[in-house]
Amino acid sequence: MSETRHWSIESEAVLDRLKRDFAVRVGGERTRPLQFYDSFPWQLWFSDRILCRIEDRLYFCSPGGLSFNDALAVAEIEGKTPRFWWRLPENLAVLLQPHLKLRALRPTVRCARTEKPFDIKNEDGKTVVRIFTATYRRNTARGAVFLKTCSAEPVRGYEDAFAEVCRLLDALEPASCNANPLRAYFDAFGGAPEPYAAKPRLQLSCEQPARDVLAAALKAALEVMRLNEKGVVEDLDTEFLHDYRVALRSARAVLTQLKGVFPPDDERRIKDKLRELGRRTNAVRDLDVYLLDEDRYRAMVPPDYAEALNPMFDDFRARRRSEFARLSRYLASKTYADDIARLGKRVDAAAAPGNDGAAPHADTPIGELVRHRLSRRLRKLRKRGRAVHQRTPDEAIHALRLQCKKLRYMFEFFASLFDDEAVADMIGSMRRLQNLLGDFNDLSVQQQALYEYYTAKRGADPALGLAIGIVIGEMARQQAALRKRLVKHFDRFDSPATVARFETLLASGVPSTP
Amino acid sequence: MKVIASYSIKGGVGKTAASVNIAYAAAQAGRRTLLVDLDPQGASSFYFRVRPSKKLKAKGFFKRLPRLKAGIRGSDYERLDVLPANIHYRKFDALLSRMGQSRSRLRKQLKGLADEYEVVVLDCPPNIGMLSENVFSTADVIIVPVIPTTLSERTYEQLLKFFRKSGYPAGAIRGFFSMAQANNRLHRDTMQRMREQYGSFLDTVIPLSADIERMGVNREPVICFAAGRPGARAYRQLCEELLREERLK
Repeated sequence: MSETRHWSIESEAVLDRLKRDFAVRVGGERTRPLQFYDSFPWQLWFSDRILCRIEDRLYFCSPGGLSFNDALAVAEIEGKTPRFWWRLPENLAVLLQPHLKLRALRPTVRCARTEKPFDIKNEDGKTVVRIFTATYRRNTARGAVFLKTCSAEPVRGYEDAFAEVCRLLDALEPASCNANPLRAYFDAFGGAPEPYAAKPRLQLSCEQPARDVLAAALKAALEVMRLNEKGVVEDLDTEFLHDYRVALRSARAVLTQLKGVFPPDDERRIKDKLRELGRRTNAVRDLDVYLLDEDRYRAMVPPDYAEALNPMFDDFRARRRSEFARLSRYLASKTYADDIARLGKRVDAAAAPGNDGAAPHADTPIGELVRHRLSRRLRKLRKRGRAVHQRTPDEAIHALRLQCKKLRYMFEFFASLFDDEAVADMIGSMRRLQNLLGDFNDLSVQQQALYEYYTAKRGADPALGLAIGIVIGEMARQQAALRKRLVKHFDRFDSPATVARFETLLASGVPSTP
Repeated sequence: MKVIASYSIKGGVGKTAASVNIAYAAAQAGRRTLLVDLDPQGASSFYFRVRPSKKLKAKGFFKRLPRLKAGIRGSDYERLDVLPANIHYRKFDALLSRMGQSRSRLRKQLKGLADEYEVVVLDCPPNIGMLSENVFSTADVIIVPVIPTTLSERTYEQLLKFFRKSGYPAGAIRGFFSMAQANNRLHRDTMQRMREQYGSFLDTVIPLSADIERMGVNREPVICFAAGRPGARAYRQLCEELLREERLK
C-alpha cells in the first residue's frame, strides 16, 4: 500500500481545493499535548526513529509525521511511561530493545499538537482518503508554531482516489515536506542533539608535541565524565556510571602510556586523583553488575535451590542503595566540583610550555612517541602471553588482560595517527582475545567476591551458603573451560600475521619529520 | 491470528450485527482485525459501506491469495479492514466440493493473512454446506446467536449433533442469546433452561434493540452511533468476554 504523504500547505487552502472535486467531511479540531522520549545519547534520534506519547498511547515511528496507520507500533499505556524497553508492552519492547539496550528513556521535547481531520467520501459515504492537518506548537497550546503539516493517508483498497488527491495537492505545493516534528522543533529553536561518544576520538597529527596531546586526551575524558555526572546522580540507568568509569580508565591509561610527558609531580598528582575517583565508584558499579546478572546467577543453580539466593540479592540491593547514596552525595557536592576544576587546571598547567627539563618527552612529536611506546607494549604483551600455560595462576592471566587493555586504549586514542582500516583491523584481531580475558577475569573476581560475601555475613542461612557454593562451582567450571580457549586464542594472536598487521599499522599514516 | 466465526443455520437472528460489532470492538481493543463477509447477500459489507472487488470471483478467493488480498478494503475505523462479499460467492459450496482437500481450503487462505491481522471475524451465510464445514474446521471459536424460543433450542441441539457426528470440535461453539427481551417470560425461561443444559453459552445477552435495527440506516456499527445505550454496551461486553476465552488467547 502507498505511504502517507505530507505537505506544508495551510489547511484552508487545502479544504477549498478538495471541496471542488470531492465530498469532504470536516471533523472537529482537537489539541492535545505530545511528549517525545529518547535515551540520554539520543539513540532513537540517531537511528531515525521517534517515540512519542499522546494521552494514553505510545507511538513508535519512522519520522514523517504521526499518522493513523504509519506507526511501526502503537500501544496503550497507563500511568507513567516506563523507562526501560523490558517494561513496555511487547510489540514496542521488541522494536525498542535493539536501540536502547540498557539505557533508560526520558522525556525530551514537549509540544502541543492541533489536528483537524478531513475525510474524503465516495458516493456510498465511505471514507476513501484520510486527510488531516496538524499544527505543532512549542510546549503548550499557546506556544510558538514550529510546524504545520497536511497529510494524506491512503485507505486500503482505494488507491485510485489517493492518487488523485495527491495529484491535486502536489499541484498546490509540489515539494513534499519532511514532516518530522522533532527536526522542525530543533530547526526552529536550536538544541539539536549532539552525537555522544563515551570514547571520543581525537584528531591528531604526528608533529603535535606530546604535551598538547596528553592535555587534550585528559580534557576529553574529563568532559565525558562531566556529561555523565547528572545521569549518575539521578540514577536513570546503569550506563551513566559505566561510561563515567570508562572515561576515567581511559584517562589513567593514556597518562600511563605517555609517561614522562608531564612533569613527574603533576603526573603523579593527576594519577592519584583519578585513582581516587575510580575507587569511589567501584562499589556501586560492582553491585550494579551483580544485580544486572541476577538471572544469570539464578540459572546456575538447580531450580529447587534458586530461591535460596534471595537473601543475597536483597543484601546486594540494600548495599547498592547505601553505596549509591554516598556516591551521589559526593558527586553533587561542592568538594567534587572543586576537585574536578582543580584537576582541569593542573592539566593545563602541566601542559604549559616552560615546564620542561623535568619532563623528557614533553615536546617529543606524538607520532614518534606513540610508535615507540606501541612497539614496546606489543613486545610486553607477547612475552606475558607466552608465559600463559595451563597451570598459570589467575594473576598472570589478569596481568595479560591489563596489557591487552592498555594496548587497545592506545590504538583507540591514537587512531587518527594511523590508517583507519589498519587500526580497525588490529583492534578486530584483538577483540576475541580481549573478550575471553574479560570473561575469565570476571569469573575469577566474582568467585572471590561471593566467597567473601558469604563468609563475612553474620547469621547466614546455611541454605544460602550451599546455593552460593553451587554458583562458585559452576563459575570455576566455566573458568576452566575458558582457560583452554584462551590459550588457543593467544597462540593464534601471537603469530607472524599479528606482527605483520602491527607493522603495517605503524607504517601507515604520515611519518614524523626527522 | 485467531478466527472467530459468527454462524447460524437460520437467518434474521443477529448473526451479522454480531460480526460487525465484534469486529469493530476487537479493533478498538487494539487488535488488527479483518472482517471477512462470506455471505453473498453482503450485509456486513453494506454496513461498512464497502463495495466488493469486481476481480475477486469464487475460484480466485480460494486459489489466488494475492487476489484475495487485493480485495481487502480499509474500513472507516482504526485497525479494522473488510473483505467484502460479492454475488459470485454463491458458487462457493459447489466450487469447494470439486476441489481437493475441500474442507481445509479456507484455513489455507486465512493462514496467508496471519502476518497482517491478529483477529479475523467470519460472517457466515445461513446454511450448512461445504463452506460452512470449512468454517467449522478453521475457526477457533464459533459464536452462534440464539433467539431464546423453543424452536431455537431445537436448532441449537441439531447443530451440536451435527458437530459430534461429523467430528468437528463442539468445544469451539459458543452460543449467545440474541434479540432477547427481558420482560418476555418465554425468553427468560428458555435462557435459563438452555444455560443449564448447555455449558457453552456466553454470559452476555444481546437485547432486542431498535438501535441495532437502525444499523442498516446509519451504516455504522451500533457501538459507534449509540455507544452508551444497552445494545452497544452488550456488544462491547460480548467482545470482551470472547477475547478472554482460552481459545482466543
